[in-house]
Amino acid sequence: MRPFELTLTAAAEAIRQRRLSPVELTESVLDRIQQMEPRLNAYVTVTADRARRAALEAEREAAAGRFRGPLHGIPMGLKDLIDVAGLATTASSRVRHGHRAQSDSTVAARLAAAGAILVGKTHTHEFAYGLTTPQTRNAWDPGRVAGGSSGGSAVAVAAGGATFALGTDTGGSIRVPAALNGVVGLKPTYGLVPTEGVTPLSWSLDHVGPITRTVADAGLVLTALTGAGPAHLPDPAGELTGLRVGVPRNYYFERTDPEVESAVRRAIGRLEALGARLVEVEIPMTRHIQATQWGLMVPEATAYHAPTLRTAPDLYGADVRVLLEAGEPMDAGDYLRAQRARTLMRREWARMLAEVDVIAAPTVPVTAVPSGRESITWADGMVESVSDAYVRLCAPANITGVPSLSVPVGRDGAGMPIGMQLLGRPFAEATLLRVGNAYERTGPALPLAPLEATSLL
Amino acid sequence: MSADEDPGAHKAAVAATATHIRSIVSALRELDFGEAPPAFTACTAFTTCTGFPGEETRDAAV
Repeated sequence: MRPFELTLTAAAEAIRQRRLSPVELTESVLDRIQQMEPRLNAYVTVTADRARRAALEAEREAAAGRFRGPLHGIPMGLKDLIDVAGLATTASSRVRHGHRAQSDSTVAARLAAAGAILVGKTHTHEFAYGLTTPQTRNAWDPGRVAGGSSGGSAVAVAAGGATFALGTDTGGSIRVPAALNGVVGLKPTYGLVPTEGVTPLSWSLDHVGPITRTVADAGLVLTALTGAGPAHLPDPAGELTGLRVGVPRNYYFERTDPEVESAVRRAIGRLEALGARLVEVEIPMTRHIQATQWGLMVPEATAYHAPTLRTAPDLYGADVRVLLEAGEPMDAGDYLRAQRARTLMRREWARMLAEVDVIAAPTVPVTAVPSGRESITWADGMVESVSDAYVRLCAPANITGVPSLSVPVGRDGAGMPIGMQLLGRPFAEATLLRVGNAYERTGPALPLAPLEATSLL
Repeated sequence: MSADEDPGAHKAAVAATATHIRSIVSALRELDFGEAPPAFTACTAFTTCTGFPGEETRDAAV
């Protein structure tokens, strides 16, 4: 196995045992990036020189017997909304031309202190305001969307161009691309991971979290991000006896592709076989989820961009500029109704989550669509925009702030990955990781996306 | 085509999107909010903002 193919957990073990050096691993990942970038374009900037220097330093520390922890010498990509001192935070936008971050974001500083090595900044849908990341191609089929807005991070991890990456999630932007590219994405509880130094889309909905190959890897990154003590790593026995898994009887399986539904229900069946008890749950206030998400996100995004929307509107991409300007007429009444609806929704979700330990559901209702497709027509004749479809099942966790973990649960007939999300109570990330890890152990993990397939283009 | 190249089309796209947003967000007017306050994010303790009873503590997060 080549070093770039290792999961974070495996690479960390190899480095700790001195079977692999941070230099070897970093060179292997940089080489993989060179191979994949012409086809996938996951990165805005590759910081090869900086990475090589950091790897050498990590190697010296390892030789001296000093290990900073499981991220010591591990190559990572950061979504290009996340400040790293001295580098541009482009937000994949011309608006940020000439930008240089003055200091590290809190998450970048914590990961650097944990020994992680930055190999580059990954593409986002411009300012995270979109669900496709059009610059980047899906790791499994370059004719399909990467998903977004953390498309570059998910594609980099799926193709072996980063051992892990960070994304941000305002309406699914970690989980959507993770699901579409067959990797793990964790949107932590609102407020658990600091957002200082991360360009906002919508302050009250934004989250930062890891995108990794495995659930155990996500746990290791989350520990470094939270600055918490030793991780409560998932139970290796994979036993779920007595755990109550909520299965939605409404909303999450409506207008969902049959192949996605079957794969997720099969995965839920595996949780039951591990001893979990399945409990039907009724998702509350479903008629008002989209209204609440938009009522919060649109005015917050427009408010953040108001200065540059006045001084440099032409530097925005057409789709993002239209959305930002369309938010201007929204008034305080709209915003307050959305905030009050969020209060009601959180109360209802609290009642529901008192009855179960986790809820299992599809992450997105459809796998990666061909690039350029704008809408989906469902069996009942309803036409939905691709972006609305990708946000639909993710938004409840952003509105309520509950944690959500997306794990790969197979591929559809076209070979595109399918994701299942596990939602839990606030700060119950350990439970989600335990369940996700137990599921992962029931079958073989998805391999890295093969570059050979992408070379057909 | 950029907004500069066709300002009329751009204005029309913004107006159509604003109408679409208004139609979605207007659904919130149906709700009976009672005494529910806005869920602003300045809350220092998640429990006081969310109403989630018996949450696990932050120390047990991972």
